[in-house]
Amino acid sequence: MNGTLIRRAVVVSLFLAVLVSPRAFAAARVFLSGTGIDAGDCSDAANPCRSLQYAIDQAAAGAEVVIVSSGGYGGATISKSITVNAPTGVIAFVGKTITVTIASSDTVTLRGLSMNGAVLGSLTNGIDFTAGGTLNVENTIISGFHQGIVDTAAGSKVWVHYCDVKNMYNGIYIYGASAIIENSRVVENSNIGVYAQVGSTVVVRNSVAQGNAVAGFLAQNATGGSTVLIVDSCVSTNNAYGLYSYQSAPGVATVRAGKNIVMNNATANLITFNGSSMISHGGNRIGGAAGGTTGFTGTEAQQ
Amino acid sequence: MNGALWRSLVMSLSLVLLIAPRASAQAARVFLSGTGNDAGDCSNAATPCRSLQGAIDQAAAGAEVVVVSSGGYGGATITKSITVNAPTGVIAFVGRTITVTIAGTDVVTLRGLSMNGAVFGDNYGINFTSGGTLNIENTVIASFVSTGVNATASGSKLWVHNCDIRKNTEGIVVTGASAVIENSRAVENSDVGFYANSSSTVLIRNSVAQGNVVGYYSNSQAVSSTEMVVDSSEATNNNYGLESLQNGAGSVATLRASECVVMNNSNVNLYTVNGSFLVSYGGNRVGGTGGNTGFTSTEVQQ
Repeated sequence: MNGTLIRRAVVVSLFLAVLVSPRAFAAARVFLSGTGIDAGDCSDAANPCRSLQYAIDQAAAGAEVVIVSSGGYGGATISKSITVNAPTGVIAFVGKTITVTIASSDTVTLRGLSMNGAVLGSLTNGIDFTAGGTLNVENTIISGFHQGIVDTAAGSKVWVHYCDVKNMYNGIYIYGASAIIENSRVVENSNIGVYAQVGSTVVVRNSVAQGNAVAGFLAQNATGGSTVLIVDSCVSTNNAYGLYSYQSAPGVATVRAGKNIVMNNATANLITFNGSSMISHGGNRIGGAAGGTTGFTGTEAQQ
Repeated sequence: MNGALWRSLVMSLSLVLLIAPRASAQAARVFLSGTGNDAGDCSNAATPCRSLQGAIDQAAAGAEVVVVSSGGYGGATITKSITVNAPTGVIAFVGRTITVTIAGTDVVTLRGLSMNGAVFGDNYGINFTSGGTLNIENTVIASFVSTGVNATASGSKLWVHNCDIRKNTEGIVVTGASAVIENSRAVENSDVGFYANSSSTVLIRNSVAQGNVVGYYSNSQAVSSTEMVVDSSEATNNNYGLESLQNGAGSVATLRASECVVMNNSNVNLYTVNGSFLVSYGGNRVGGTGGNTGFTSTEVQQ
């Protein structure tokens, strides 16, 4: 064999090797387990990853992290579209912050996490949504952090569904973004349960705010523009204030309420400040031993 | 080789054929796992299949595919009655289209799937092209290029229960068929959330449409009648909350709503086009951004 032939053979072999070796693209779903190992691409259900961050790093943009068994998975920083999916029957424990900082066209879904910051994360937020995009948080418990879900990503959307957010300073805090909260509970936070801040639009439905030290549901705006908080078919009880609308010029704050139970809030069931709006859409049951029965600034009839 | 040898060879082959297991006795339930193997008939829980299509092919008509552990199972084309059953506690990931094309008497049930089309870029999550009855339960369908659930099977029935349909172009589109949708959510689809198209009848209850262009849409094509009923549901943060549109000569589009929350839809909460009908049965809370008018008539509760 002469040199030319050998060189040709080598080139052809290398070419073939490139052709037949698996493409190194990231997987559409990767697996995560408390007994896994952070090695390889975790795309085989028999060889799962061990940490949430490593699993996310192996996954393609838009892919799914499938949690196959209970474990503690650590915090993570998420910078692309991803779904983290822990089924009922699996405890996916996370004791540190999950930061979501994504492009405005990206979507992150966190489903089924058990987040408890009491040991490692009491000074930080549970889920910190700083840039995006869309964030879905579902079937997740968040407690023991400073705040539970914080959305300060301008123009973003956060969807909270079947979550318990409890024993923090603020439960869910939305600033300059839109949020929909359903079938969720904000309980025993030392300040506010659901906090709609400047320029945000928040809809809360079929949810519960109880035992929050200041307010169950708060629309606040002391800066400018408009804050709108819609509360429908919810319960707000045993807080200091049940439904709270606060504005300070030039800010405008509006709470719209329909079919709620707002009772036994120690200081007032309904409260407005500086001409802010609290509009009834009917069907609200207001009263009880504490908090009084008045406070709506207007009524719009059901149709 | 002489004649005796030939004879014994033929006899051996005959014996092999006789004692081989019958290939036609398909199982009433087959098992599917992310660590399985598409070999054998998968009727033993200890030796499950690996792919959804492989499992369906092993199952008898009317049988059940039991998903025993989390995994990615791929798309499938279903041409017979079957139940695909992933329990709570298992993530049955599917990133490709499931096509259901069955006889008018067949029933397909898909339960507990986690469908996400973002990586592969298929058009449809579930494409129901002929049938029959299709049940979809406890399933998430996200990020398909065109439509989450596309039901175009003429005269078919679609039942959707406890499903999340999001980030597709359209969520659920029903054309020329009937559908009942309950306890489900259509979120951030870039066009319509719940779409009753030409000659369809769609009933929606306890459901949510948010962040779509149109939340609930009754659209009749020429010389057809489309009927959508929306009860105890929510339409918020869409461009249009409830919309009915008559799209051609001689068509009638009606949307009947009761006990709904229709608020903060950026253009209009309630919207009718070309003389279509938007009928209130009372108890609707309408307001915020998008205004508080738009029903074409009211029918009292009885």
